[in-house]
Amino acid sequence: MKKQNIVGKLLKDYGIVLVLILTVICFGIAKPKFLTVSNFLTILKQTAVVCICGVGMLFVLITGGINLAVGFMMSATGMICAICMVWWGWNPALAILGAFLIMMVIGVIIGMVIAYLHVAPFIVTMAFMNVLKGFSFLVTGGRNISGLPESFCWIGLGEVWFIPVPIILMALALFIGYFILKRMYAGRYFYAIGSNEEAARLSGINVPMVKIATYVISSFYATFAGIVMLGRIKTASPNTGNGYEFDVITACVLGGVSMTGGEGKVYQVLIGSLLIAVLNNGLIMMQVSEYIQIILKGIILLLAVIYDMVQKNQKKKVAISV
Amino acid sequence: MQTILELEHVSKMFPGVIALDDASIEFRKGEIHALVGENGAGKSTMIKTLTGYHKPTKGVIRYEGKEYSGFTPSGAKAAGIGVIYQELNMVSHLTVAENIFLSDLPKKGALLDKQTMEKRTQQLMNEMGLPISPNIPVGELSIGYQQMVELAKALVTDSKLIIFDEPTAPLSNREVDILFKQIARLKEKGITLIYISHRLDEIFQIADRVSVMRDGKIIATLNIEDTDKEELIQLMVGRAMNEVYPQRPRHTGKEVLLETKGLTGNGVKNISLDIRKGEVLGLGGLVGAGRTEFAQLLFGAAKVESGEILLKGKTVSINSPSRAMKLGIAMVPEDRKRQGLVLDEPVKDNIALPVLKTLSSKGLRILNRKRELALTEYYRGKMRIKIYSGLQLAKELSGGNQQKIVLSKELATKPQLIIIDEPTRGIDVGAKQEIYKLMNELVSEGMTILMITSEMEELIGMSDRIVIFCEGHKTGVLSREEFSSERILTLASQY
Repeated sequence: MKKQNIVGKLLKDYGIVLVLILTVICFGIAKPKFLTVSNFLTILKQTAVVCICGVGMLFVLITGGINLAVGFMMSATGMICAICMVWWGWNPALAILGAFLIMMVIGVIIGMVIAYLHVAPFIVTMAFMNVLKGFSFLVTGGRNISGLPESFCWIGLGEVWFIPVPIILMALALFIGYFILKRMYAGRYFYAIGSNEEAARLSGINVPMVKIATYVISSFYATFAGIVMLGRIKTASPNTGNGYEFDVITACVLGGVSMTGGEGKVYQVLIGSLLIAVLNNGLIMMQVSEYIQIILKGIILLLAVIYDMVQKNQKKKVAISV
Repeated sequence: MQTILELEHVSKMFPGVIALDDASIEFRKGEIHALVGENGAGKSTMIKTLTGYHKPTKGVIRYEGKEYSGFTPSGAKAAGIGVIYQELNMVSHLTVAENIFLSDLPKKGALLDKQTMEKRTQQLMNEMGLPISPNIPVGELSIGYQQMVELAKALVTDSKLIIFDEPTAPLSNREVDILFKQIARLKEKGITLIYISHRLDEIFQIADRVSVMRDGKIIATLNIEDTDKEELIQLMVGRAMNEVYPQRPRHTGKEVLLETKGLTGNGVKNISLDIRKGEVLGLGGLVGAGRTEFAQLLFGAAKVESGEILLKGKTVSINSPSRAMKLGIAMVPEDRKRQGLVLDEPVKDNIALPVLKTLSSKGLRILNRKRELALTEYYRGKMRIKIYSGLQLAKELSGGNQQKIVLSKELATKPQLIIIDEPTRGIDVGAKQEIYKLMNELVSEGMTILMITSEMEELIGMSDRIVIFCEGHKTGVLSREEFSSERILTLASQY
C-alpha cells in the first residue's frame, strides 16, 4: 500500500512531466525529424519568452492575483527600446534600463491600486493592458520600428558556444525565481498570503507590500521577456505581445500552478511552457493549420483547469473523511 | 412514549478506524435528545449515518417502525429527517423566500410563482414569530437569523426529526435565546430533536434526555433530571471535572506590564486597565462585548482612535501586527483555521512564519532550513505537539494540536505578553486540559497572558484577575476572591 501511495503521489505531482514526455515520444514517432538536437534547441528558444514571462506570472498567481497586462507590457517594452535605440541612438544597455524602470513603475502603480484600493486584479490589469496597448500603437501611429543594432539582437539570436542566448537567459530567469521563492525567506510570504491572507496579516506580514512586490516582479519579468522577444524578431511592432498573457497563464496552469492561489513551483512554469512549445512545434511539423492550433490551445487550458479543480476536490474529500 | 428512531448495534468502519462501535440508541417521539462527547467520539459519524451520507457497516436502523440497512441523502430527507449544520448552507445573494423554497420552487406554468412563494414564507415567519421579510437577501441577515431561515427550510419539507449540529457555536447570546424559543415551539408541535453541543449548560436548559458518546460507543443515556454536569464530563472523558483546571500558584506581583488609558476605537470605548507582569488576566463578557476588538487594538490589527497604550510605563504606538510583535506582544486569534494557520502548508512553515526573518542569513536573506526545522522540533517537544514530522500539513491535525501550533508560532516571536483569544474553542476536554497546563507552564516561566474566553468555567478556572466588558465598555474588575458566575454575568450585562 505504501508503494502504491508513492507512485500515486509521484503521478499527482509530476503527472504533467509524464504528459510532456509522452507528447514528445508521440511526435517523435510521427515525425522522426522532431527528435533532433537542433529541433530541441529550436523548441527551447521558442519556450524562452513564454517561460520568462511565466516566472513573473507565477508570483502573482501564488498570491491569488492575475496580471493580464504582461502581453502588452512586452509590446510596450519593445517599442520603448526601439525608440530609444533607433530614433534617439541610445546605447542598448541604457535603453534596456529605461524599459525596466518604466515598466516596474507601472507595476508599482498596478500593485498599489490592487493592494490599497482593493480593486480586483483582473480589472486593474485589464485596464493597464489597454493603456499599454494604446501607448504602443500611439507612439508610432501603429507602424513597426526596425533596424535595431546588432549588439542588441545578440540577446535574441546570439549563441554562447552552441547554446542560444535566450535559453541561457531563460535558465537565469528560472533560477532567480527559484531563489526568491524557495531560498529567500520572503518567498514564504507569497505562499502564505495566497493560502490565507488573514493569517498572514496577523503573523506580522505586510500584505499590501508583498502584493505590490508581486506586480513589480511580474512587470520585471514581462520586460525581460519583451527584450528577448525584440532581440529575436529584430523588429518592434505594437502588436507582438498581443495574446501572450493567454499563453503565459496557460503555461502556468498547465504546469500545475493553482489559479486560486497558494500553490505553484518554478519548475511547473518551465514544464508548462515547454509543453506549449512542443505542441506548437510538433503541430507545425505535422502541418496542422494555425487556426486548429488555437482551438487546441483553448481546449488544453480548459482541461488543465478542470484537472486542477478535480484534484482540489479530491483533496477536500480526503480531509473530510479523516 | 413512542420510539421514532432506533439504532440497533450499528457500526461504521473506515479503513483503520472504527468510527461507530456497536451503537444502540433510541430516540423517542417528541423529545429533545442531547448528544455529547469529545471531538472524534463518533457524533458526526452517527449523524451522517442517519442522514444517509454514510452507510453503516453493520446493524439496523429502525425509523417509524420500518427497518433500514442504511439511508440515502434524498431518502432521509423524504422520510422527514432534517439537519441544521453549524456551517449554514445558504445562497447569500438569494432572498429568504428563494432560499427556503430552493429545492422545490412553486411554479406557474414555466414561470416562478413569486407571490405564492413569498406568501408562504411570510406565513412561516409569522408562525415562527420572526420579524424577517421574505424578500431580503439572506446575506444581509445576522448569523442567528440565517439559522432560522435554515430551520424554516427544514420545516417546509415537513421534517419529523431535526438534528441540530452545534447550532449555538456561532451565535450571540441574544440569538441563542431566539433559537431556544424555536426549539421549544418545535417540541410543542411534536417534532423530535437531536441536539449536539459542546456547551453543557445549554443541554441542561433544554434537553429531556442526554446520551454520552466516547470512542465511537454510546456510554450512557440518561434522563436530564438524574444527572449533572460533572457526571457528564466524567462520562465524556473518564475523569472528574476538578482535574480539568490544573492548579497554579497565586499571582501576587504588582508590577504593571501594559496599561491602557481611555483606549477608544474599533468599537470599544474609553478602556482603562492594566495587565500585571506574570498574571493571567481574563477578559470576560458576552459575545460582541468588544473583547476581541480590544485585543486587536493592542495587537495593531485595528486602528486606535484615541487613548494611550503604555508598555512598561512608556507610551507606544502600535499600528501593525509586526510593530506589536517587535514590542513583544503576540496574539493567538479567535479562529485558528481562518486567522491562525495556513492550513495547506506544513507545520514547520506555520511555526516559522512570523519569525522567518530571524531564521535567515544577513545579506541575501536566505532561509536557513536547519534552523527552521530545529525551531519546529523545539516547540514540538515543549508544547507536546503530536505530529510525526514537521512536514505534516496543518490541516491534517486535530483541533488541539492545531491550537498548540498557533501557540508555538506566537511564542516563537519571544513575546512578553501573549493575548489568547478563546484558547480552547472547539477542542475536546482532554486537549483543553493540555492547553491549560501549557498556559500555566508559560506563566511560571514569567509570561503574561491576556485571555479572552466565552466559557465561564474557563474564565474562573484560569484567571488571576478578571476584567469584564459590556457593549464596548469596561464594567468591572474582579480579583480572585470576588470570582463568581453570578457577579460576572451581572457585570457582563449591565451597561
